[in-house]
This record gives sequence, structure tokens and C-alpha cells, in this order.
Amino acid sequence: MYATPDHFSGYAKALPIVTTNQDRWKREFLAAASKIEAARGKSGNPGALYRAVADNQSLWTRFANQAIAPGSKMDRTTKSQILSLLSFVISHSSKVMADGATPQPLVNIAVSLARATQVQKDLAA
Amino acid sequence: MISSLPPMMSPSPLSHAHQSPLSKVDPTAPLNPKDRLDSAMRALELLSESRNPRVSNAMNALSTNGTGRATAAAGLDAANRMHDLFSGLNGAMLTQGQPGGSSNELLEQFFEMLTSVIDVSKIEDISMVQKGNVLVVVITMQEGHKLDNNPVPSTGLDEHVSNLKGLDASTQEGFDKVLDVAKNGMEASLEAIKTLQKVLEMLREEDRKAREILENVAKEQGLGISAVTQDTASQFASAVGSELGKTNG
Repeated sequence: MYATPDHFSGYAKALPIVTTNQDRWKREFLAAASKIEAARGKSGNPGALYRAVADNQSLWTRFANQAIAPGSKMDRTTKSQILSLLSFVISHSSKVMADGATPQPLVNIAVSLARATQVQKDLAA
Repeated sequence: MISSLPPMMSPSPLSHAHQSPLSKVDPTAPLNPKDRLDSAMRALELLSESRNPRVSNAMNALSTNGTGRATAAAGLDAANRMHDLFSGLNGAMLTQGQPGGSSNELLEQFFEMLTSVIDVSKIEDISMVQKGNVLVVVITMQEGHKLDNNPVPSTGLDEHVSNLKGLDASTQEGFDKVLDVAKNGMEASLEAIKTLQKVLEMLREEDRKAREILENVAKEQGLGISAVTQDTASQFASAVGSELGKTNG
């Protein structure tokens, strides 16, 4: 069962401003998920949803770029997973825009990533 | 002083605008692997970043009210429903009294379709008059509101539907006019559908290019790209999040 985005919709605002990479990405992914969630409720303004989806794709591209850049501490498996996710995000974003597919998988991905990051950080603390 | 700069130092605002992001991804370019990776990823970013304004611009141009709230997908959906609406009207006209549908059923279908493309909360009044084998529909919108609640400009729903107003369809002239409205409405919606489909094709082409770039990046890095589905995407994301939590990126 995936995380229910409603439970996390307020996280982006609640997060403190921090300087670590993991917190920055977590905050950005939650903000992207919140933006998609907020936009999908505006039935009279579908453009907002498409902007949110496009921004989310842009965020994933930046994330992938950093993840596979030289000096990245991520292992090869994770790098492959990130590129695989980016490919899915591109593909599904297109379906949302062009075919009216639900943006829920994009929200689920962002929330799952942010939650797992936080869990791992808590374990390490 | 800026005027003292040699001409070659003057930045050209168009120098980037005319450069395709894809042109930066050239496997034969004499770049080292790191530069090529940077270029490829930058190209991906450009594709992402350029999508939003490009879509917005395209849809602004297509939008009747100029607010840009329209989108290709929503517009196509509306155009399809518009087409259904006028097809239904045409069908109602032609089959009225024929086997296969009572006038009430046809009327119901027509209004079901009509209300799917207009903002029903802004309707002040609807009245109908059946004359002969033609239905005359009068829709009064609340003050300050128009019928159009869809992002398809060329269909001109307001104009088409208001053309039905007050027609005496019991006469041959009135009947012909109602049929004209249905025909014009269908043609306009078909045109809108074609236009919007071109926008969607453009989007799909951009995505295809983006994935192609991504595959090249993965190949060059010796990384694999696995098929991710809606069912597995969150598992991938959790795994990535855990790693991010461990490594701090």
C-alpha cells in the first residue's frame, strides 16, 4: 500500500530550512508532491496541474544529474534506479498531460522517496 | 563602458534560443566523458524546463480568454465532448420520431452532453420548445457569464448554441438552420481536435527525445535502466530515498 499523499501534504511547509543535501531534496520532492496535489483539485484550471507535473519532471532531472555526477556517493544500483525512475517520470508526465492519466504515481514516488530518506536519516541519528 | 566592448563580446539573446538542446548531445563531439555527461544532462534539463513555457504558449494561443488556463489534454477532451454534443444534436434532429429513441431520450442525451461542456452553475434558465420535429433550445446564462467553459476557442460554443435561439423549426427554413448549427459545431470541434492533437504530438515527440537522451546517458555511464511501472515506482523511490538518507546525496 502506498503512502497516502494527504497525510504528507503539509510536510513541505513544516520542514525546517536545512542545508544538507538529503533534506534539501526531501523538501523539494515533498513540495513538488504538494503542488501536484493542490493543482489536481483545481478542476477549472488544468494548466496548474500540467505546470506542477512539468516542474516535478524538472526536479527529477536535476536530482538525477547530481546523483550520477562524478563525486556522487551513491552506488551504481541506486544511480540506475534513479535513471529508471526519471524515465518513468518523463513517460508518465507525458501521459498525464496528453492522455489524462492520474498524476498519483508521481505524487507517490515523491512521497515515498522523501519518507524513506527521513526514515534512514532517523535510523542513522 | 558597454559601448567600448568589442562586438564579439556582446551577448546575443538569440544565440541560445536557436540552439536545440539536442544539438548539445553529440557522441562525436570532442568532449571528455564528464563534459559529455554534463552536456547530456543539461540537455535533459533544458527539455524539461522548456516544456512548460512552450506548452503554456501553445495553449495561450489556443485559449479564447487569454488566461492560458487551457491545456492540450483538457482542450482535446473538451473538443471531443463538443463534437459529441453537436453530433448528438444532429442525431436528435435526424432521428426524431424515428425508431430507436423517443424525443425525451434524445433531449436528455443532448443536455447531458451540453452540460458536460458548459459551466452549469452559471445557467440562469433553460427553456425548450418542440416544434414539429425540431427542438428549440434557449439557454440564459447569469449576467456576465458566457456559455463557453472550455479551452477550445475555435469551436465557438456560445455562438453555435445561441444560434438555436428562437428558431421556428417547424418551418423548413428553421429546420435547415438548426441542422446548420449542428454541422458547423461539429466541423469547428473537429478543427479544434486536429489542432490540439498536433500539440499533443509535439509533447510526445519531446518525451521520446528526452528518453533517448536518458538512455544515451545511462549507456555512457555503464548504468542500466529498468522498466518501472506504477506498481513498482514507489519501491524504487523508497530504495533511492534510503540511499539518499544514508549518503546525504
